Amino acid sequence: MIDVREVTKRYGAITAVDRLSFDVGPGETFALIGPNGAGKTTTLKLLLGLACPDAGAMRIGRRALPPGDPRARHDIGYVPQRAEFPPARTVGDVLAFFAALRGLPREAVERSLGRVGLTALAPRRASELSGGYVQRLSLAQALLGDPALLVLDEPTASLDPEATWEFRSLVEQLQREGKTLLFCSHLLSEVERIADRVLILVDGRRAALERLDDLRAKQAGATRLAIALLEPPERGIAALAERGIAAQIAGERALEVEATDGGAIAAIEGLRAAGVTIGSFEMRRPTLEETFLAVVHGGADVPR
Amino acid sequence: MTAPALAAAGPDADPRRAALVRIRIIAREELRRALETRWLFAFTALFALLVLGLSYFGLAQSRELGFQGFARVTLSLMNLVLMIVPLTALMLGVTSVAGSGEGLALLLAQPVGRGEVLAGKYLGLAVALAFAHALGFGGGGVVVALNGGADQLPGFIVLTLLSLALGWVTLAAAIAIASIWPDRLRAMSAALMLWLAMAIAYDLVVLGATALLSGVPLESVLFPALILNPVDVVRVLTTLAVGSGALFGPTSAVVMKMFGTAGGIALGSTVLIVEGAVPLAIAWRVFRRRDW
Repeated sequence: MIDVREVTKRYGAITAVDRLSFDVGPGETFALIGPNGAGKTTTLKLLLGLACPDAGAMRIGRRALPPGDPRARHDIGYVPQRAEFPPARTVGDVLAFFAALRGLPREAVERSLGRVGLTALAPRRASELSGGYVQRLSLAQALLGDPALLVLDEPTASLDPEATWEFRSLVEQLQREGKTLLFCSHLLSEVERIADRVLILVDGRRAALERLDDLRAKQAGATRLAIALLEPPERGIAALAERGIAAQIAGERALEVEATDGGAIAAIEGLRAAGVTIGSFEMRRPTLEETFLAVVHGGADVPR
Repeated sequence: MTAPALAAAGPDADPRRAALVRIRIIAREELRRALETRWLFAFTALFALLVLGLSYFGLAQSRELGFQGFARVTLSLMNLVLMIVPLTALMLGVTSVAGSGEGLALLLAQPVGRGEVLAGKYLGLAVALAFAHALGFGGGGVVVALNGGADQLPGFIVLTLLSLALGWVTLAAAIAIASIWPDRLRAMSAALMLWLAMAIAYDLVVLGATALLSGVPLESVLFPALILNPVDVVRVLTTLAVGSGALFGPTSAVVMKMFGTAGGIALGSTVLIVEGAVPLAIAWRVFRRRDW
C-alpha cells in the first residue's frame, strides 16, 4: 500500500527526512513516532503529495502511484492534527463539498456520517462542534469514498481523554474492517494499543522499525525483579549465585534479578531457603516509552 | 450538483472533464466562503453608497443637493475606485491562500490537481468580485438613472467594467503573492507594498522621470509608464470613455494619440489581460511546486 525508498527531503540546510525507507502492507496499522522535529510530519506530507522529495521514490495506494499524482489520493483519506472547516457551514455541507470533489453522490455523505456516529449532527454548524466531534467530522471526511488507506496526523493530540477514547474506538473499528492505517502520535499508549509496526524516526532517519509483538517480547525479556531486603544484599547475592541465578546489587538493601522464564519465583524461593529476610519485591517491565527513549537517545537496546 | 456531474469528477472519469468539474466545485466553494465572511456585502454596499453619495452630494459645494447624472459621478467615482478596488482584491486574494494552514493542506490532500485548486480559487473570487460590482455599481446606477437621468451612462458602464478588470488583475497579483509567501503576515505586507506602489508611488515616480527626461519625447516616456501600471491603464481608458481627455492637461494630445482610437482601446484591454495573465502564470508555477 505504501512503498518508500531512500527518500530525502531538505528544507534549506536542514535535512528533514534522510534516506528513509519503509513499506506498509494492506490492512496493516503502521505508526510513526519520534521526538519533535524528527521528520514525522514531513514524512506524512511527502506521502500525501503536499511536499516533493529531493531524492528517492515513493508509491502509494492500490495502483502504486507517486503521491504527487492526484489519482493516487482517491485511495487515501487524510485526518489532519487539527482540522479547520468553514465555521458557518453545517456538518452535512462540509462533507458534501469533499464528496463532490471525489465525484461521490449524496449517499456517500450519509454513509460516512453514519460510520462515525454524526448522522444526528448533520444539520449542526461546524463551529458548534466540540473538539472531539470536529475530529470525528475530519474522520468522516477521510472515509468518503471508502479509501483503502487512512493517514492520521496525531489525531487525538488535542482531544480530552473521553474524546480520545471515543476516537480511538472508531479507529479500532476501521482496523477490524481491514483498512490500512498510517498514523503518527505522541501518545505511546495509543501506538502500543493499535499499531502492528512502529517506525521510530530520529533526526529524519530511521532509528528503528519494529513489530509491536517483537517490542513486547523485548519488553518481557527485559523484565526485572526488584527485591528490597531487611539486611545488606551480599548474603542474598551469594545465596542466589549458589542456585545459578545472577543478581545485581541495586542499593544498600536491595538487589535485582532477571525475571524471565520463572527466574522471579526461583529467586524468591532461593532467598527464603537461605534465610535472607525480604521486605518487599516488585516486577519491573520497561514501558514502550522507555523503549522508545532508549532508541531516541542512542542504540535500540531495551532499557534495563 | 447532479449525479452525472459528480461522477465526472470520480477516479474513472475523463481527466479533462473531471478537472473542469473540480475547478467548478472549488470555485463555487470559494464564492460561498466569500459570501459567508460577509466581506462581499460590505464591498457591494460600499460601491452602492459611493455611487449614490457622489450623485446626491456631488454639488453640495454649490449648495445643491439631489441626484446628478452620471457625468459627474463617473469621474469622481473613478478616483475612489482606483484606490479601493485594488486594495480589496489584493486582501481578498491573499487571505484566500496565505495562512490557510490545515484547511488548504486538507484540500490539497484530496484527489485534485494543484492547478485545479488555484484556478478554482481564482475563478470563485473573480465571480465574487463581479457580483459585488454588478450589485453595487448596478444597483446604485439604476437609482441614479431613475432620478438623475441616463445621460453619460455608457461612461459609467465602462468604469464599472474597467473597475472589475482592475479587480481581476490585482486579484491575480494577490494569488501570486500568496503563493510565493504563504505566511499571511508576509503576504499581506507584500500586497500592501504593491498597492502603495500601484495606487500612489508609481505616479510620483513617473512624474519625476518625465521631469528628469525633459529632452526625451513625452510619448516615449509616457507610453511604457502608463501600460506598466494597470491602475493607470484603467484611469486613462475610463477618462477617455467619458470624453474627459482634456483632464490630462498638456499631455492629453499624447494620451489621445496613444489610447484614443479603437486600436488604443484594444491595446489597453490587451495590456490588462496580460497584466492579469502574467501573475497568474507565476502563481501557477510557484503553487504547483511549493511544499504546503
